[in-house]
Amino acid sequence: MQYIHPKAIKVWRIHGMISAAISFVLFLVLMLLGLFLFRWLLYLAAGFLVIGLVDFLIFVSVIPILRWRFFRYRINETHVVIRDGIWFVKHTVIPMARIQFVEAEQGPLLRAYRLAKLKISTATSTHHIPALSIGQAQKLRDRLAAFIQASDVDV
Amino acid sequence: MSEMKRAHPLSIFAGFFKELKQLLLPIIIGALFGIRHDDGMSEWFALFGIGICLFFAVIEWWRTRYQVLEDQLYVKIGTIFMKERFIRFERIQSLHLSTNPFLKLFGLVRLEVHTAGGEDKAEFALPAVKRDEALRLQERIGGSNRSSQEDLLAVLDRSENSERVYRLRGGELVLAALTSSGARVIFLGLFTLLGQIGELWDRVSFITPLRREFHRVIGVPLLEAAAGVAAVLLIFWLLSSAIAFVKMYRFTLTVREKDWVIRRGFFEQTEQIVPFKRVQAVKIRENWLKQSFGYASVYLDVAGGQAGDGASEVLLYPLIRKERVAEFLAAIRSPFPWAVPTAAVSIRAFYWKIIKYVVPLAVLATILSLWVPYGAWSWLLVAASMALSWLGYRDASFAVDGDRVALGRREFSKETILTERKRLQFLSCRVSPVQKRLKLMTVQSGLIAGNNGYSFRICDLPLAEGRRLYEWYITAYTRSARHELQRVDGESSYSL
Repeated sequence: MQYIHPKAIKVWRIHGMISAAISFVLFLVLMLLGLFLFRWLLYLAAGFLVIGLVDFLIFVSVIPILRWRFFRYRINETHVVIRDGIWFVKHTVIPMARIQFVEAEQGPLLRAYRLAKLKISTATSTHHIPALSIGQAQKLRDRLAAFIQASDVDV
Repeated sequence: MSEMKRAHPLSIFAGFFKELKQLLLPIIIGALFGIRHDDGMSEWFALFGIGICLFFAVIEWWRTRYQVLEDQLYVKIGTIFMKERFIRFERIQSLHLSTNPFLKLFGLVRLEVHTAGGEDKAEFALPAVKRDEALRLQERIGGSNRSSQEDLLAVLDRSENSERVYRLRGGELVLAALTSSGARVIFLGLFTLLGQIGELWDRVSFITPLRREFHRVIGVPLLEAAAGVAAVLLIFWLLSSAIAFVKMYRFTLTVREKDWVIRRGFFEQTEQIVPFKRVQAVKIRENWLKQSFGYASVYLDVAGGQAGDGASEVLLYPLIRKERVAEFLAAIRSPFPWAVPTAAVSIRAFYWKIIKYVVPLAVLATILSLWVPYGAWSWLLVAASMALSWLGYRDASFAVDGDRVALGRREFSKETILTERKRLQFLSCRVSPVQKRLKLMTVQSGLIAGNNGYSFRICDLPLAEGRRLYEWYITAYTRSARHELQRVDGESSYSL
């Protein structure tokens, strides 16, 4: 079983920071509105403050490391295995013969860190490997594509 | 080589009525739930709408043309944007003929061509063609191996040696219709009731002064209220039974060399051909009504475009005695024989379901019975969820035999999915912290149906049994399955 790229931790941290920042901005706006307009908005503001703090404390500091540590995958000639989840542990087997297409995908954040996400689709589901280096993602994609061609498709 | 042909001119009306039929449901619903336009303009709008429909029906008929080439069908379609298509014969998965009393009067049929790709819609459809022409087309395309002059839509009375015909007889049909609805009826009925209560609240004007006597207003004598609930449920049940009756009228299943032919319908007779090799799974389903009478119905998941209302599921046979299912599946040459899911079940699954479903409902019921008059009735819901938990925990099971697998599960209806390893698109095992403590596991997998697929789960299998299923699935693909299995419940070493 293999780990995904360690830079994933950084990316997830930034994700956490962004959502925390949004919560804080909302908190400020709502607080100002609450002070000058409707007092009940202050409760909403408090809610966003809590969300922002939780984001900051947990989703920036702890969760990314755990997520990275607990995510594992393996690809061989016959199947892909993905293990995901910190508390809710999920093992998924995707036989090569059942894979319909593979995609390497990048968002702006992933691109900044030269990472890519691998999406593996069967007829009924899509499975993700969240962060791989671009080179590795492309290599895996091509390898998977080759395997898919080699295995019999008899649906 | 022939020239470009058009469908029969009556296509215009067939197409037109089809569109009208689609409008009918909204109209009925509108009428039922009291959406009215009293502005005097609505008639004009309606006429205008009908005019537009008719206009487009004419255009569509005029611009839909086809030609049978050597090994493909050449088609021009499109009302506004013209499309040209070549449909190769080998890509055609089914040629679907259907008729209704109107078409029958003129000796016409509706023809649909379904291919593997594309959406749930037919690749090409002619709303009305002469039956001879349709038969000629069918013979030409040769997708099916029927004898050429066989009357398609007449009920088969002269069955050949190789063919076996199963027909739903009068009594069975009635029973099948009456037991078709199950839990859906109750939900529909209850939602309607809730809607009515909402309406009651809308007329608050005369309720408000009586707020203090809230108890007395809602408190229609209890018997009356119960009778009302029962009546609504009864009406919904009869309605859905009637619909099922119309759909399953003259249901015949013909077993042939390589495929099944399913014919059914009262107003609109449809014929469906299901080749065995496209069957992904056979599903034996028992809703609570059927289960309590010892009956089941048989459904199929079939890959590729299907004739019908875009439903991905095909009804293979609506009513069969549970103890005869094995015999029946063998007799109709089902690619997947009957097997009883036998994996051990664990009472711990029942406890977990109680924590998950019953306890929250019980809390809710307690609150309701404290604060709302007649809130104590919500304990019935708690009892129902308790019963469902009990049934569900015993139904989550499976059995494997070589490559074959039988998966038992229940959401509201009990369902046994008969399929084989290579039809399962993937397999996931999920263990939550509580499940880990209770030694349980939820298994998820996916099957192809129609042009898409769906995923389903078997909740709360005992951990050991779940692992057995996982092992069975993965061993076909790897030798180091055992190595893998160590990690199913997160016992892996976390060294880098």
